[in-house]
Amino acid sequence: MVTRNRPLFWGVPCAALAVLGSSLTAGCKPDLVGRASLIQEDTLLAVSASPAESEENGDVTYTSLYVGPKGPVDAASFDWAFCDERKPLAVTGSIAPLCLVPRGKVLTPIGVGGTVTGHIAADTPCKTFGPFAIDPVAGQPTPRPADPDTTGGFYQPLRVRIPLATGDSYTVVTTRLDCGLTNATQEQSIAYAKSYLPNENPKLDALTLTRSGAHAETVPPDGAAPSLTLKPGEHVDFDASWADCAAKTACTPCDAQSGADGGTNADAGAHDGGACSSTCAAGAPAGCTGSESYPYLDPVSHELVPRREAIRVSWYATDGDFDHDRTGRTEQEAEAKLHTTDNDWTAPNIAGVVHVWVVIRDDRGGVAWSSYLLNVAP
Amino acid sequence: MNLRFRIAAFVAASLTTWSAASAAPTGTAPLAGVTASKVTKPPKLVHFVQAPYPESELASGQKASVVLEVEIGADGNVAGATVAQSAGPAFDAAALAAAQGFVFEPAEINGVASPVRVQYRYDFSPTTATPKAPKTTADFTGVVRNRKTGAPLAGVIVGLDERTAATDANGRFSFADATPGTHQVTLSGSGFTPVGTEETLVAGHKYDATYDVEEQTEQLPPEERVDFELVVVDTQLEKSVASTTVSAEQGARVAGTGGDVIKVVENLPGVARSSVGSGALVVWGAAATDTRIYVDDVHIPVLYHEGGYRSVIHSDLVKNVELQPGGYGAPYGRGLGGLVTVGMKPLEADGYHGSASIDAIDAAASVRGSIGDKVRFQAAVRRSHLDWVLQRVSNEDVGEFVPIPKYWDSQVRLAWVPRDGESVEVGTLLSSDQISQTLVGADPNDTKVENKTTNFQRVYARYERHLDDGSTITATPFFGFDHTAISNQFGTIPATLSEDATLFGLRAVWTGNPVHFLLLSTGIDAEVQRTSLSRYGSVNEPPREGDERVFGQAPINAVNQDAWQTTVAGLAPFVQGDIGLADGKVHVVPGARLEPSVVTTSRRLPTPPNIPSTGVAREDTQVEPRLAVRWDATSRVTLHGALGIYHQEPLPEDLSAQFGNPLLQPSKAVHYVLGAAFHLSKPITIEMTGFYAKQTGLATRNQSPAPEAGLSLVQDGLGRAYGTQFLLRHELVGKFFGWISYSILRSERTDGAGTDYRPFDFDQTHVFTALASYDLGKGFEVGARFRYSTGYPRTPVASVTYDNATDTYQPVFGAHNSIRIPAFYQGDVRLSKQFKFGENTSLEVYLDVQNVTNHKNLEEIIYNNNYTQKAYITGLPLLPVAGAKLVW
Repeated sequence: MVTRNRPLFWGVPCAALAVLGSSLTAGCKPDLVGRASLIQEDTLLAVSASPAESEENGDVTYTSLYVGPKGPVDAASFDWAFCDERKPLAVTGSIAPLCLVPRGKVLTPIGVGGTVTGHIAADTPCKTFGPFAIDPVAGQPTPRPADPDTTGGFYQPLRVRIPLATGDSYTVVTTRLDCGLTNATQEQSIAYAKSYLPNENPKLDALTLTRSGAHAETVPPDGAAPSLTLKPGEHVDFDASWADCAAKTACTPCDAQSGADGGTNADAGAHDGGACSSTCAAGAPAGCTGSESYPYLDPVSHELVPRREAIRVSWYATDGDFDHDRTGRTEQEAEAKLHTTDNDWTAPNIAGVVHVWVVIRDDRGGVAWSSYLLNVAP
Repeated sequence: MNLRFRIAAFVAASLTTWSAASAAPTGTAPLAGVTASKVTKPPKLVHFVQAPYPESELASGQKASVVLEVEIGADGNVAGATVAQSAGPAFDAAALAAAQGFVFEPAEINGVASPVRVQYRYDFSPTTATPKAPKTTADFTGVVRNRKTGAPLAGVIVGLDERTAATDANGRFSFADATPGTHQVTLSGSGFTPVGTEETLVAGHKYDATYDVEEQTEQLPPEERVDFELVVVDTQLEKSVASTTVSAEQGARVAGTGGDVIKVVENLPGVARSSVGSGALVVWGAAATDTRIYVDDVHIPVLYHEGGYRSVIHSDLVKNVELQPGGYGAPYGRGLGGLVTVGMKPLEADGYHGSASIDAIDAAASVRGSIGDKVRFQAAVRRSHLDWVLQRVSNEDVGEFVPIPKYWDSQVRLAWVPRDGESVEVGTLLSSDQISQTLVGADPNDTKVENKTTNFQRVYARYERHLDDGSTITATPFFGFDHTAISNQFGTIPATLSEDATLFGLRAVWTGNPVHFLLLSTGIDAEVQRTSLSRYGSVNEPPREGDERVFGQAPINAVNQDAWQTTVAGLAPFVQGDIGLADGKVHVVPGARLEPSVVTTSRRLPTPPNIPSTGVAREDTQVEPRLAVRWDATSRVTLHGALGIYHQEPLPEDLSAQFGNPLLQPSKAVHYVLGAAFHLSKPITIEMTGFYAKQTGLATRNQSPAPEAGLSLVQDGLGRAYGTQFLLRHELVGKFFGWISYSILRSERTDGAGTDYRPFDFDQTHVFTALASYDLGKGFEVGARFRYSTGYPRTPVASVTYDNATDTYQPVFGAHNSIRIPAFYQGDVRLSKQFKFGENTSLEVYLDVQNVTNHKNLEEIIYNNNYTQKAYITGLPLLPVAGAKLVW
């Protein structure tokens, strides 16, 4: 019989207190101040990898979103390096602790700056971080393969060292590796190869703003000057949307299709299920910039099943107050064709320009963002 | 052996007006010079000196009795002694010399300490001087006391079949050389309604009986008559040198337990305070899964329902609960930690009785009765309704925010008593728990789901026979199922674990006296458990002891799956002897346990689903010697020591090829115990016990970045726990009982080969508990409890990294378990009132107020999103829980 000594969530005491009435239910879990969505100091908000999913021996360009209370901040001092060691099972963090150092034998430097391009090593990443076992030492048993994430993916980690006056700060970035499928039947492997598309970074299609009792207004991204003005303390509802992807797994290599019309439906293949794609055979991104569907080998049922990406959106602003730091859509909601998410925001009481960043992530490691400017004036 | 009988009777004598004249027949002489005064308190012998048998009389080998007149000063010391009835010069001299060393609590006359003279009979027996023949009889002694005051009752006629003896001024009586077997014991005297019970005496044993009689200052109507209680203690065969036993009567009256007898275990020395909502039983720094729990020889997996608010056995069935935190004897094994044994009350053929109780948390009922004299039964059931209550008193759907435990348990017993000293009982023990909670967040990753179901079922049969030669046979086969299902979801990361076990066990024990100085116990302890498990999710969830994490931290998004079966079988013959030396002053208890075991696992290595898996089987035999020594150094001081080797097979969940290691061997522990008990007076004892426990072969996570397949766990962990526990205990005498316990200990673990010791996750340096209960009279009773404990260790967050994939900050930890949650302290109060309706019916209403000072105890550390701020989750504020129990 399994026993767990610490409750997963805290609350039974609070529940017991509720018996007594609301006057005693205060407390239990304290409120900690501080919001992730409020940018009060220089902060690395996100790193996007392009392509979002890479094969071994491929180049990947990493772009950072580094911002401060007054807007974007120069990231020229960022020091990038691949981490070449898998973290031990006992480590609850996302990277081997040995990689959180300026230099080390388990680090492969990539470069310095806000945007760098690194080369995923050949042969080893899918063994060190993937489903293939590391080559055993002669006479020794086979090492344990890495465990996939909940989407079946494996990831090459890297660390970004940000030199600060108070010391180095580290960010962990992972790049999804296309390691194929293991522990599958031949039929499953063939079906997987035919239907799997490397992940595509998601993209915000639009951000709209709805004032009380008014129609939605589109917030233009990346503007040099604010195009919308809000009153101090005004409550608005932001609505972020992304592509409405097809329900079925999209890509069938055109050269694998029967018939001689390969390429005729290639354009549709990028967004629409069932058609062929002229690019997917080469492993290049040919997916959808919304909640993509993908084949997944269920480890419990051992069946290849279609899945949907969950989408998460992180909201940031240099002033004002978002209701939530993050919102999003679960896999089930995405399956129901929900491809928007909203968040209320209260404009600051002081007039001025407010920077807003909206970062969108899919749960296969894809990241993208858009920047906005809002003017707050009486 | 500890036998307890309750007899529906009462004593109507007026004993507070005990006078010198009335005391004379029991051997106490008239008080010198104060014959017209009332003795308000008789003298009480608190220090006895053993007179040696005169060497000059050894050849005769005769028994002799010298009656002395002892003059006791106002200070309690012996002022002089003379021979009132001689047994010869040598015996007289020896008795006089010994009596000079007696110390008494002084007598009081009209409330003032005064000199008195008493008669004392000194019995000589050549037992210490001549070789003994194997003793074929039993000695039965005891004391009759006023239950409320603890004062001895003189002049009570005690009958043992046809033999009778009157209690002396100290309330004591004695029957030497009683025939082994079952006897009728009666109590009678002036103003007494004769009462009786049965005692089973074993050859070679010395029994010391305590009969506590409710004080009655005047004749009471029948509806206010009360039971009185008989306690018979067999002085031999101590199970452990570090054992604490609490009777059901005391356990139910402890503040903070809600009347749950078994909950009292949390207040015993050596037990760490568990977090609110946890209920984990951490004994002497051992993991909760290392402590074995038995209900009358039936092994059960847990002692408490989920959350720790209630035990899994109805209190009406419980006779007593005993905690042996370590160093226990050969009859038990398979655990590295402590041993909790719940003794069930014998079923009596005394009519139909039952109870019904209810409070804010649950409701319970029990009933027992008999069909004729030979068939007896008892049934009990309990079900929680906290979820129902919360729905009606709260404006919100509390269940969406907090996990509300739902549980029920049930016990059924059916006994057949074909003749005196023989019984057959069959029964069931059932328990079920469920917790379900969903926290929905705007962020899909903030949505958390927790579902946990645990239940166990046991069916058992128990055969018990007391043979005419004084030996006892018990055999308890049992069969059952354990089920656990955890289904958690942290955003998109699942953590499921399902475990279904089928269990068969048998404990068969014979206890008897093959020779007069040896009480032997031997038997078989067998258990076979076959478990089917499946697990899916992160390797870090559920967390293990030693995992560095902060409260609420999501598991790693790296998942795997496994389904496997294990069989763990052990058949352990054991033998334990209690060798009485130096006329019973020294007991040496050697024992040994041989544990051949077989462990099979269906999968040695992770294998793809389309490839047949290869299982693995292991068999080995563990030898576990045990030794305990107890020495009654003086009449007040007992020294004791013990050591033993213990093994524990790996948990079935740790034998996974994917998440664990199918090749895990048994872990091992060695216990060393040394202590002393000081008997300050009859009800007051101080015990001090030091211990050291060394554990090897503990399963820990593989620290390698590239662990071998099938070796996610390795057996490199070490553990050690050492410390001292103190217990000052006032037994239930009269209106009061209570104890103060204090443990200072250190429990440490390593996380693998070459790593340093660090504090165990559940280490608590100081644990202090003081509790007391007092009968205010007229049915009112008040109890209080105060607890202090060091906070659990935690690992500090030294820095953070930002995880781009999840948009979260991940902690980078400092020195492992190097900080602690602040200390906990809390006071609880219990007030109850009992209303009596007729002779056998009563209603108790109680108010159990926890944390009366409303102190904000800090139970857990939490951090903000980027770990720049730290705060604490607080535990229970002032929490009154009212309840009622109807007993008939």
